[in-house]
Amino acid sequence: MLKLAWWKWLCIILMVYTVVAGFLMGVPRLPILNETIRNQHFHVTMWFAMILLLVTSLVYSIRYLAKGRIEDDIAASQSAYTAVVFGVLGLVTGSIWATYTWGEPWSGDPKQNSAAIGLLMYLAYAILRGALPEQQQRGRISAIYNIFAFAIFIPLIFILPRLKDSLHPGNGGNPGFSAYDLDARLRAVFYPAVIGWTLLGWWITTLRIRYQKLINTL
Amino acid sequence: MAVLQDLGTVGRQTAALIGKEFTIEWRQKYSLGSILLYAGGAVFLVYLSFTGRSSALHPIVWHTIYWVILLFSAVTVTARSFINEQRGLKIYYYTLAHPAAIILAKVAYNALMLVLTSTLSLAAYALFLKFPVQAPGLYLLNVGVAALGFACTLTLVSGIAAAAQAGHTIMPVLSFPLLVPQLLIHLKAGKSALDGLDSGIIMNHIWPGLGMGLLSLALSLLLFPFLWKA
Repeated sequence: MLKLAWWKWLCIILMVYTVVAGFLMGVPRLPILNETIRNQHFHVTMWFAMILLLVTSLVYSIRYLAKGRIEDDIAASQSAYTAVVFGVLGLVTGSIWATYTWGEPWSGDPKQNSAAIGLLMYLAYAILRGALPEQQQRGRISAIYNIFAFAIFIPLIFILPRLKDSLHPGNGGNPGFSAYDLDARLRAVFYPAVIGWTLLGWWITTLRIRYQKLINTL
Repeated sequence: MAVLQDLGTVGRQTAALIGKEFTIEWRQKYSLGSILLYAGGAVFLVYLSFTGRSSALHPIVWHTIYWVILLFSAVTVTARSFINEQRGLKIYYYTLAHPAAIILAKVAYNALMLVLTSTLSLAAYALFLKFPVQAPGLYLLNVGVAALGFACTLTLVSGIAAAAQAGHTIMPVLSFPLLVPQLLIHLKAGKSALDGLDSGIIMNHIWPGLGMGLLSLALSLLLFPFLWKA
């Protein structure tokens, strides 16, 4: 048997379940959305995982500023990078979905634009890290930027789209829960999927952290 | 009581530092002049682009281009606040003043500079390209609040960029995504003022803009001490 931690097994099971159940389980028939509501299992859940990874990154950044341990800096940066990958995937899945529901992949929807800007913020984080050669300074400066960026990111993607009209399902009040009329069948895939994606993201991040630590010791 | 004494010290140091910034600015007049020339040049370029086809300059285009000019000028003005400071002077200030005083002074100075730059460039804009705004007072208020908000965000970013090698190159990269929320809010408010909507609606947009600026200010005050130590 492979020697994997319990949570990695859980991740595998949940991801397989998400993909299988996401495509095969029955879904309620909502106007306009029809079968495409299945996208919710992937697009929305990946976004949730991305947010959780960014919160993780924020926490590690704060810890780095408090204690100055380089492991915290590595964890902060790698979880931010994984979050960026999830963000890109979220945009791609959203665009694919939009092609069939809204008619075009990029329709300038406020949430879409806000998501893209958020991604730019964290890409700028990566560039900033690249521009700082000295390790301690890099950790400190990028931690400061991370905290600042997160504090602006949250209003950007949650509050701003609600101030404007949007085609995004769920933009009439809540972040997407009620508007889907989440019934038991959808919930049964949604929550495990969020946990699954988050665990997957964290798994990838831990691998990257180990890789980074190896590079540092060499 | 110690807190009040601390606040008093911070207040006095802030005032002194703001005075120092203005003195330096007055001695190196070319800095302010170059910013005004930058904005003025941009305005004139837009004017030349639209001469003869002034019918193409719909109010919304007028409005959008002005804000683009304002955005770039804001980044240029605030970039100077930390990036151009010499190393020796930095260490000198570090020993003298409370970090809160330093960041507050820089934010206040940048805010004043941005309000000045934005209103002067708006005046130049109006001179060349007319002023098709139906609620001018609220439009000006919007510009003023935006200038304050931008200053709050950009001052800390300037400090971050100054720590990196190529400060001036990285400053736009870092600042544009962070400014977008405020920019979107102010663009909306400006558009409403342009169309002459009810003042209640416009203020509904200006308040969140101010809120975001204050959020940035609070974060700057929290985070700057860490930056100063680096």
